[in-house]
Amino acid sequence: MNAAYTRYLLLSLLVFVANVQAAEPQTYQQAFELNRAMYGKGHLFTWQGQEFSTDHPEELDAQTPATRDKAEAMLHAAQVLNQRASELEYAWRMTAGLLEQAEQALRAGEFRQCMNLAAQAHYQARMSIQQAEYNQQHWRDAVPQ
Amino acid sequence: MLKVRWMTFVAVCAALLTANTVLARDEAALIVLGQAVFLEQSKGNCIACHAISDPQAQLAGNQGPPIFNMKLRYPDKRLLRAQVWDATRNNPLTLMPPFGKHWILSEHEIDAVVEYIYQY
Amino acid sequence: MLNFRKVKPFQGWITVALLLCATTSVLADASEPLIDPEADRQALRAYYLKRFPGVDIQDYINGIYALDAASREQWQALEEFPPYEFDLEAGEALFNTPFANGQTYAACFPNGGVSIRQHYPYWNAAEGRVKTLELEINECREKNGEQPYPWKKGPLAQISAYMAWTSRGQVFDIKVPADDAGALAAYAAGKRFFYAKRGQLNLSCANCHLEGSNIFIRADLPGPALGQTTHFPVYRSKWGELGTLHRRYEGCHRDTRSDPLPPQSDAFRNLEYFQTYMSNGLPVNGPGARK
Repeated sequence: MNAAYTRYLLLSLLVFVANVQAAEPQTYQQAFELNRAMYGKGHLFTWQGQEFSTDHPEELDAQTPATRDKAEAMLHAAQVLNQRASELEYAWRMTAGLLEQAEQALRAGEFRQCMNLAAQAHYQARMSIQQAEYNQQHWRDAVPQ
Repeated sequence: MLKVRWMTFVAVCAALLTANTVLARDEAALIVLGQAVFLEQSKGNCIACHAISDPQAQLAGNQGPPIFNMKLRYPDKRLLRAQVWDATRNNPLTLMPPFGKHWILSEHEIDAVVEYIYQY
Repeated sequence: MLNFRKVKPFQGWITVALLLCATTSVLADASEPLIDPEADRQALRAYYLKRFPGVDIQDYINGIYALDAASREQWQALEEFPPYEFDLEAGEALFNTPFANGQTYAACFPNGGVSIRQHYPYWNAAEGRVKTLELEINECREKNGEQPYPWKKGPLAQISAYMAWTSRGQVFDIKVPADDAGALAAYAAGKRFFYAKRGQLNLSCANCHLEGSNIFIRADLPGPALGQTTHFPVYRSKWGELGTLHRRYEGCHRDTRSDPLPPQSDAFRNLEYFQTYMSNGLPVNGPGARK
């Protein structure tokens, strides 16, 4: 056990050094993700002299006034995007369930609830498509040579 | 005059104490939630890969490093939060799921689990 | 973005040359320049020889039990009264029972369906797709006017188990014809499926079954990718019954929090093609028993 802990102490120091040298973000996307990762949502950060929020575009959309039209539009957009993820064979398991709950909320007239669920489903679909595209490019990095 | 000052002092002390208690209670609640996130399969299931010296954490996996020395490893708690949010930023091939980036956990649950593991 | 009219001719040529280089490398990447299944198989063997020195390559047909002594003991006790024995008997009876039209399974397969497991899955050039043993068992039924069986368990898994049993000890010999672009593409798609991350949990097959093999996930030890398909169909204690390889694929895929693909989908058949090729040179040992 002592040997193991010594090893992890060393590992800890390595991680410490690596963290001190965490790379500066190069793109807006990287800056957004790093700030969201460090501070969560509802945080403001500055990128190239401009101020931005760490909220996802979907979350900002879900904060607009709750109406039937808006809820329907957000739900539809999320369904279309998740369909695209399915065609890539990259859809996530829980996204369809979120879409179903959003539809139920819409039928019950709970527009805010529908918008929040559609926002989460849209975000998941967007990430799954991004994941498909990234892996199409980079999967070979994992192959032993 | 003296009486007024004295009463102000008492009031300020009382306010500070209450605030402290509220803060402590919030933090304790956060840690309780964080422990649930760490242990439960439907939440973070961190225990599947990380050992931690919490007596309630039995049969931990070892795919990832044990939760140990966190304050030394992450002097900046925000960087630990960033690691939980998206471990692929530092290593694209890592087995660790990007809990925040893929919205596996809510931002509140991530705050909670970070608070919980930062004790170890 | 680049405005050629504004650059001097000499600089323009450099730009063109650079663009050509960039284009060539992008194209080379997209068109899978080197699909070399044999090199892949050797690389995977080399990986495991280095990772677990002293473990015989032939032992990888036993999965995690080749690597972990404690698990091996429990498994050997289990195998003394194999839990798939009943399924084998049922599979043999089903295999030998003629269809309503008087025809038999034996007539659908080479060598009467006996001792052929090591050649599946294979690339069917005429159909332009990978054929699995289970796919052809159901095709045989439909050709003879019978309803196809469900893909994941039950009679299909039992017949497949019996056919594997008659092939025990035969050495896997999967072919990827080097002159058939379709076969190479199917193999490459299976390989990509194995190494690409997917699902909300962002996991690849390789995450757990290559670098993660024999390392604890909670109380479970993921098995090695080498030899992973040789023992299917499998009696899995967690299921309490026999199941096919694609049932396991579907479960694994779901565990990454992907919307799981169906058994016998193109993706899963290609994955089986890749994985079984990786097991070339290892013997058939199906049906198997696993925790």
